[in-house]
Amino acid sequence: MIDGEAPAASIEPAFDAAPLAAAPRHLALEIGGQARTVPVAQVHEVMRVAAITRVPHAPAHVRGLTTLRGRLVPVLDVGASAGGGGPVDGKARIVVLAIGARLLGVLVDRVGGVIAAPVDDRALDVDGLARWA
Amino acid sequence: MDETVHRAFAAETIPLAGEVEARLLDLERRASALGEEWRALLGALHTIKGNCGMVGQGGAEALSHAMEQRARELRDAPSHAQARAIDVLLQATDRLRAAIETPTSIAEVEREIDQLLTPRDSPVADAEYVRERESETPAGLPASASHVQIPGERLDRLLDVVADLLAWQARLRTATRPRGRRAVRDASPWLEPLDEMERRLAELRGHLAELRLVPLSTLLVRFDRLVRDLSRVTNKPIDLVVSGGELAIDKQVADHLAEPLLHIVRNAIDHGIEPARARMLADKPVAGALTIDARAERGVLVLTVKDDGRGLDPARLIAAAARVGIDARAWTTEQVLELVFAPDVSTAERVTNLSGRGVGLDQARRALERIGGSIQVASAPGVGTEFRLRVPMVIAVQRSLLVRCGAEVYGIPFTSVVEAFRLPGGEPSAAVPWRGAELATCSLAREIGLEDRAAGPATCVVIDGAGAPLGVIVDAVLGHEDLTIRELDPVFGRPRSVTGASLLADGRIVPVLDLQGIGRSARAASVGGAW
Repeated sequence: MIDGEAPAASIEPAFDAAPLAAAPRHLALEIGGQARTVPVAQVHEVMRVAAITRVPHAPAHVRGLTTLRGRLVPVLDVGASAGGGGPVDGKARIVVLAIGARLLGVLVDRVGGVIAAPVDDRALDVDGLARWA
Repeated sequence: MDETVHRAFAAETIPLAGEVEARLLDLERRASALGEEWRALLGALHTIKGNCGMVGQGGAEALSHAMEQRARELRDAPSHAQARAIDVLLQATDRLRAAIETPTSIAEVEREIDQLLTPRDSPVADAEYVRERESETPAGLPASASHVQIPGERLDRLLDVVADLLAWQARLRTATRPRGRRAVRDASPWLEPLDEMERRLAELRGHLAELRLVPLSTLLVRFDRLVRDLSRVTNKPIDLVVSGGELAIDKQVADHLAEPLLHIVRNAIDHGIEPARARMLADKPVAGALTIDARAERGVLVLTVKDDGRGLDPARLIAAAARVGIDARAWTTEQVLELVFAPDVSTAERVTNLSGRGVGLDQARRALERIGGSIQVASAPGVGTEFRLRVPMVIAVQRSLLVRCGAEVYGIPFTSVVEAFRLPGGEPSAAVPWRGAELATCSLAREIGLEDRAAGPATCVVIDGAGAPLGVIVDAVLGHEDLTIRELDPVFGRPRSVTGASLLADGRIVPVLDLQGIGRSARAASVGGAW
């Protein structure tokens, strides 16, 4: 469960539903123990953590490669930069983001629900991740 | 104009401008021009004009018309000023290419057209142009309507799907593998269809990989013009001979080859080939000979760039190395020549505007290694220099060894392997006997940052490293497979020693290693060299 004010229960608030329906929606995540959000429009798929192949001399925050229906998807371990990078548990998922023609996997501790609005300082910098190398 | 229409138009018309350029260069080289060259030139210009007219590209249309006009005059009355005229036509070709890429009005190309057409014959030309246009019928559509342009990523997606199908196919095979006598009978009706299916899938993958191939000439034609221009700038006459343009190579390989080739050719003209006077004094033909020769050798493209210039001077290389703290005095000639690929070693006394910009040879080598290729140099003072580039012709699908190192499995394309053999003693040492000599070895585990391998049986993979063969020690060779090799995503930041990754038939992912680069860094660590 994501801590604080963005519980999964807020997916469908009882009031003011009309403007929310049009607003972009966001997926709540937990990465390295911290609450994060990412626009649903950029999420290609959420997958269970399958085998991740290490790539020699890859940057520390790139955990390796996994496969999604024949495509090779890099898996970023953003939590690793905050001192994580340890073993993953059963709730862990790979959130596969679509950035142009690329697919980029982000290892997350768990996936929460879809929420209406991101809390700004928690939004995952997707473009930054794609450039970070 | 509609963006898609313009892209299609440009994609189709730009190569024609390349054709015009190539024909002009041919004509310039041959004193007595052949009728066929003129026909090809006029034909290409005419088609360009037609294409431009169809999509309303006024500037490019008028310019190509003027060029056609001028070329026709030159053909009918070969003048003594032909060289000058071809110069003007070549300049106009550059402008034309730009006008095809970016929509251009007639007013914007007025100056070029003026240069092409003398004021005397322009009214006539215009009248003729109008007549010609009126007589054109829609039947004159360009003949390339049957070609389809596909972005590279779309092909890659298809290759991914086929790789995945092959993995599923392998799983099916495992599931139907007969266990016990009764099972053999149960499974046998499956075996033939499974075999057939696997063959078809492999065939499909082969066809897809071929779609990525382009003729090498698409890369090499650029050198015709480049060498001509460099020859003018440096005032050194040069005879360029290019062969092997008919070979088909992966588009990605062609892209990676362009920069290194450019660098080598520039170097050859700027530093290799001597000024005409010096050549005469040395009893050499006045015109420098530069050859670019391409051959196919078992799936590997071997590109040789050779000049008959002054050659590399080992003494100057050793002195240049000393300036960056490398003592190369006791090195063999091959090792000394290798210094041209070292990052900080430069013998250029002055930076000219030809070389001394763009990538260095160390960068060129990196670029080639990233696609699993290599580069070597040979040179004799006073006789010339030869660079030999080896790159895989097809990148997308390559037959590869699968090797195990600890718990990890890696792919190694056959193109970089000479031989693999089990070490008799099991325990590897710094050198092992091979083909009647001592073979230096290195540990793959150590080179790619894994924990050192545990004691036990080991296998030696021999590569043809820069200068000398090298043994790379792995735990075991698991077999070989045709791998569908994918480039790594940019987030990996071009890790050294890895060229890509592949999905195995059993669904596992393996990194594909660049053994040339690994061998080089291992050797550098042991020799203490800087490259």
